[in-house]
Amino acid sequence: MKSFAVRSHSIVAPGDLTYSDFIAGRSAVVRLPETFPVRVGAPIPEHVCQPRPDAQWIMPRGVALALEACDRLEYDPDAHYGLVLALPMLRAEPEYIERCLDAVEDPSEMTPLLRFFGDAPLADVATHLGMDGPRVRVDTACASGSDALIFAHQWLEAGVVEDVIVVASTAMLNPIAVAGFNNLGTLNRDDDLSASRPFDSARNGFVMGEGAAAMWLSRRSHPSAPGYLSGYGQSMNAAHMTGVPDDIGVMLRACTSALASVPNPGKDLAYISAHGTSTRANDAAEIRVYRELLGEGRAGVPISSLKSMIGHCLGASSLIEACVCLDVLTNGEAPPTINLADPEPDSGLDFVPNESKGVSGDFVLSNAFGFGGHNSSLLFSRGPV
Amino acid sequence: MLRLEAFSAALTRPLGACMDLPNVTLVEKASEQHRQAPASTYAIEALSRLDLPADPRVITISGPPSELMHYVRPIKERSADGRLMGPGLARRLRRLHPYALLLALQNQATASISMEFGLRGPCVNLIEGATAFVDALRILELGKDRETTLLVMSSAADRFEKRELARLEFPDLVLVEGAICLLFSPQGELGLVGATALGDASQANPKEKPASFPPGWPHAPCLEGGMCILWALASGIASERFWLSDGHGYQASFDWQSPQKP
Repeated sequence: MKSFAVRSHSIVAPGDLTYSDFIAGRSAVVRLPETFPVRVGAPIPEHVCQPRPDAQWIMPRGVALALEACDRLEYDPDAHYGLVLALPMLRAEPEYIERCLDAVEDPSEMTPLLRFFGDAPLADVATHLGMDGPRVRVDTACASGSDALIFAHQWLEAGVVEDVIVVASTAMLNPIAVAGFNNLGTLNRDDDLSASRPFDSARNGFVMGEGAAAMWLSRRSHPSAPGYLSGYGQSMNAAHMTGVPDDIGVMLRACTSALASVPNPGKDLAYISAHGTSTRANDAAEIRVYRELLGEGRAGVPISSLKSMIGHCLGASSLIEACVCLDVLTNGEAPPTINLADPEPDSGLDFVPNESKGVSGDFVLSNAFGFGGHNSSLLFSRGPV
Repeated sequence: MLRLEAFSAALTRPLGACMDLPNVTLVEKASEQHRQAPASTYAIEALSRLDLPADPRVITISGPPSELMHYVRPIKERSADGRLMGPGLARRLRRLHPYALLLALQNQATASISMEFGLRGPCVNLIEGATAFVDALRILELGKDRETTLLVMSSAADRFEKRELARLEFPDLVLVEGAICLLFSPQGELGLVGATALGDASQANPKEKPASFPPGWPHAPCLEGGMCILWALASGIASERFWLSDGHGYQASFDWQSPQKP
């Protein structure tokens, strides 16, 4: 598989946290207003993403977050790019739902919602970036960010374009979407700011976050490239919409496909960014995957979950985590899994509990296991492979 | 170009002579139900008509799978002040069906066919636009000489929210729901399909206008590429370049060629 250079990346994380905050183990989890059916979440601060005024339309919050990630990305505005956008579930935003409900009597009331409709969000992000190249929108739930990056890699491999900008954004930290996940039984219901505790024995559901990220992937190597996307793997569970399969072989297959160019993962991997949602089922399955993937070398590969600090940013989470993986390669320091007081016993894995850890090695793996059974793994390397 | 091995479709409105093609069927409009999103129902119905190999590479193109409003509207109607938002929202939202959001996730049909047919191979889901069809072809062409690949388009857009939004821009629009499946393999003999252009409309050849369907055909953005193939098959078109547009100045095109006759 070819390696393609990451030229730049940006994140808009809950609490507006950055890599240095993650290394310090800071949390973006705060108490939510009483309109929410759960007590805690990880929002983007209000000052970071103000509504963009437009006389005619309502801009979806998911698009506004995507544009913020684009604004933070260094790229050459005169170059010809493709755009892969991971932007799931705009229809769960309260303004959209409320206006649709009100419009039953008079559908013309829906006019301001046209920015939610069809290809409008994709066109809006492309226009904001000043792009006229190919564009596509990917949605594989919580694996959307990773799968968008894989799609971009395939575009480069096919020679469709020389450069691609990948943007992932999700803004579902609102009462209606949170109620949807809460009624499904996947959210943590505790009034506890340390509620996001991946791989802890007391984990009890995920904490909802929101956010966005962007990454410029290029066919052209560059001396300042923070890393290269050098492998990927995808598979489907074919088992359950929200659960994980009894047979973890399909999840493992995504990881081993991504690691095809790494002879001995237990020795060569510097770090694994786990999906690590803090749900009982996901984390238990991931522990089984990593034990099998790393074999005897499992204690020597740091594995952590960023979601312990920023909650689950759903479709944006895996691109945010991919960006942090590149920072780990650059800085040689892996972020911790915070709130990890009582790790699952006998896993033999290093979940980097509560304090960051120095790492060495030329490869990092980033995993996402999404609702619907999408398994998606990314391998980043320090140089082209 | 990709070689078409098989195709199938389940559609809620007829597409002229396409309905005489094998594996193309007219279906009832699927109702909102807790067990399965309407778009998933169509995708499973269409795909059940094909003999599938084990774990092909899959790309799905998904329109709306269901209508979230169907689940939220009763909560608003039962609230004391007739509003959804406002004081007491968290309590009211306890009535939201646990599957309401799940069924509205736009990878719903993708997940459903994976579970129904045991598809465990690489898979990505593209959403909304007509031009996604050409994006999908580009990626599937990477493995055209060595692997069997499956492209599944599905949509349940002919419901209040999408229908009314669409009519704001195109008042006379008639929408079709359903699913269209195309199976490609190195041995496929039904025709050749290949992406030719992706990009801003300003880059397109002005002499090559977007294809328009026969009069009376209904509209369905994310099914449109598949509808072109069905049209080509049903009307015996030898070769054609089809243009698809996203309505925002972005166009993409693909070529169709019928099999070479000896």
